[in-house]
Amino acid sequence: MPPPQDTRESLLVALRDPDNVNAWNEFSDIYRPMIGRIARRMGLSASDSEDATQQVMLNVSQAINSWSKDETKGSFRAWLTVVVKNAVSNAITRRPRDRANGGENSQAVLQGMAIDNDELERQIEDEYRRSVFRAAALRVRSEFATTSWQAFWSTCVDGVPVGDMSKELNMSCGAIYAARSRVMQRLQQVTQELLTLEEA
Amino acid sequence: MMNHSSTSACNAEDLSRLLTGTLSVTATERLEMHLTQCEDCVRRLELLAAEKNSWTQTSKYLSEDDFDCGLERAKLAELSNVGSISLHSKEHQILTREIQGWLDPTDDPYMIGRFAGYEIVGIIGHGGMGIVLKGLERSLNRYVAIKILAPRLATNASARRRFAREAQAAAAVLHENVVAIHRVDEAHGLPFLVMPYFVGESLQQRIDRSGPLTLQASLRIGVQIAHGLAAAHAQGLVHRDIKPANIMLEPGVERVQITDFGLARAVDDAALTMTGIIAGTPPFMSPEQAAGATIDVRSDIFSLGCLLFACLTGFSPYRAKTTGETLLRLRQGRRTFLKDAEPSLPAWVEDLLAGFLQTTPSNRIQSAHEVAAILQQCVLHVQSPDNQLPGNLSKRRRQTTVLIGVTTVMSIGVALLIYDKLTERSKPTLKSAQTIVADQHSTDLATGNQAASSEAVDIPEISSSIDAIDHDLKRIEIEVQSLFGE
Repeated sequence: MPPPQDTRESLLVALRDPDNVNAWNEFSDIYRPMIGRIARRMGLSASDSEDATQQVMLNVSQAINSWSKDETKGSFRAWLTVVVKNAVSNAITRRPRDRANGGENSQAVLQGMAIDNDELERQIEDEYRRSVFRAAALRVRSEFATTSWQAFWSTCVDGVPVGDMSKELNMSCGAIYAARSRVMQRLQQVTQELLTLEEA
Repeated sequence: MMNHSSTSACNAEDLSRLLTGTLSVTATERLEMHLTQCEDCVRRLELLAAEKNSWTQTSKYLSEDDFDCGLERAKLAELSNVGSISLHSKEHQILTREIQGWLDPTDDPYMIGRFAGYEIVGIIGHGGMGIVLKGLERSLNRYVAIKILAPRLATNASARRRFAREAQAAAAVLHENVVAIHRVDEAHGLPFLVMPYFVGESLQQRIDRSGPLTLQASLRIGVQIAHGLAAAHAQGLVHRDIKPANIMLEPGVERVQITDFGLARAVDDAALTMTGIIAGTPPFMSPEQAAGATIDVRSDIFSLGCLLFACLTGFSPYRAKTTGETLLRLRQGRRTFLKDAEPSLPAWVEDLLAGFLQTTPSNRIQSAHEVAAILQQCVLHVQSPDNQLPGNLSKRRRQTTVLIGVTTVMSIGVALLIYDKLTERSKPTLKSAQTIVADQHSTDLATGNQAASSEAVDIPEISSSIDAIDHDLKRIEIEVQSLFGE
């Protein structure tokens, strides 16, 4: 799969329109979970990462009007990397000193901070794809019968052998292959749509 | 491997039409049969559907892992099922935070952590006493449900003792209609039990999804629950929370299993029943349970009656807008009757349920064994009316049959006679005639022959026809009586 290069301009343009609620929801659906996961990867606890995510989303909403590719001389992702890093380090320094702070956790945070920008950008890219894939799954889910979805989820996500699911769902193995392929096809379609929506 | 003789069946065009759903039903079935045998075609189909990368990334991207917070976990839980409860994200977040402290790290990036040797996949749900996790038992390569006493309760010695006792008692019940318990143990100071993980749905989910069940299906489920209860009762265990959500339906087979003996305790455990806390689910509780009084096996029989009613109608006979109202109705014995909720069911079903839903326990059917036998006999009767209903139901049934028979004959008679007399009447007249037919239909045998009093009708032609009907009815009544020797 070719890496999407600095792909978010069109959605970013739409975000500048304060009345465009859809654009913001779209952005939020994909970016919020992604930022949350990155914060967790950098060692923040669940609740701290939530605060950090909130902060990043706030920063993005404020900065979106002034952000332009030329001025920052870099991609949106590079810019986002800096914003996320700042939010995470803020979350760490804001933490009250008397709050018990597991040694393990602090270590993780330090390790997180030690990650260079390239590594963080790579993580962001991976998390971005994950987020898009999940958003696509949520959209596609209702298009399929429960058994088709179950056939797909059990064998493709949970790793249950096709033979086992065949007995469980009382479907032939062939029917399971067919069902899960249909789901995968739609998933790939919607994923591409979401990706190109931002590229266009 | 693909066999050369089946080359004709390997058709790329058909594969893409299978994906778009443009193949006929028979062609689809034929191709699916072929796919079961031809690995090459499966591979082709999968590459047609999505690039290889997408297939390999699916599990990585859609599995829950360490970095997912509450909202994401709730989303994934919703995506993954079907069977599991979709939790409110806030609740889920709290639970996630709660369990994080006592999970061991795992080297499997797709798992949340490890507990007592099981790889933890996610949270299935939670109840008053604990959290239920979905785990993978690597050695047997099977999924299990792990019910753990909530850490906040585990600090309390009596709760811990109760949980352990409950688990041990439930584990002793070995019956095909009771969910098996693989293991009862303690880890990190938290008592837990391990049960099989179900892919199927609960009876509640089935009712929510496809509405009330048929009489036969309801009775069959009832028979199985009664058998399971009988086994538990024999061990001195009262379930205390029999309701559709605690009955699991296995996919594909007609087997139901009672799960979550979460509130079941040994009946003789007097010390622990003194807490006075109302445990159970109000619309399916027995009156004695709602009153916080001592309960025994007959409480489960009452709840089973509520469950059967819910199977047939979609809701409990004690359903009310508020819990308070439900409890009040329970204490006063004010329930919804089957004839009001689902009038199409035969009258003997009402009588059958009355045997479960008596306010005073001693007036109910006394044992789950007896319940199973009665329900089984009812199943046979529904399959073929030649089979007798259980004793006390058949008497009422015969009367009902007479009643239905007479009412039907009456209605036909009335309709025919009126039709006969009114063939050239105008519409308004016909309408009043229909009203009379309807009235007549709703009148029971005792008053049937007087029902058509002439004052209700002021059209002379109809009055005279009513007289004729009256005469006919008397004749029918006599015939019916002689038929049944009464």
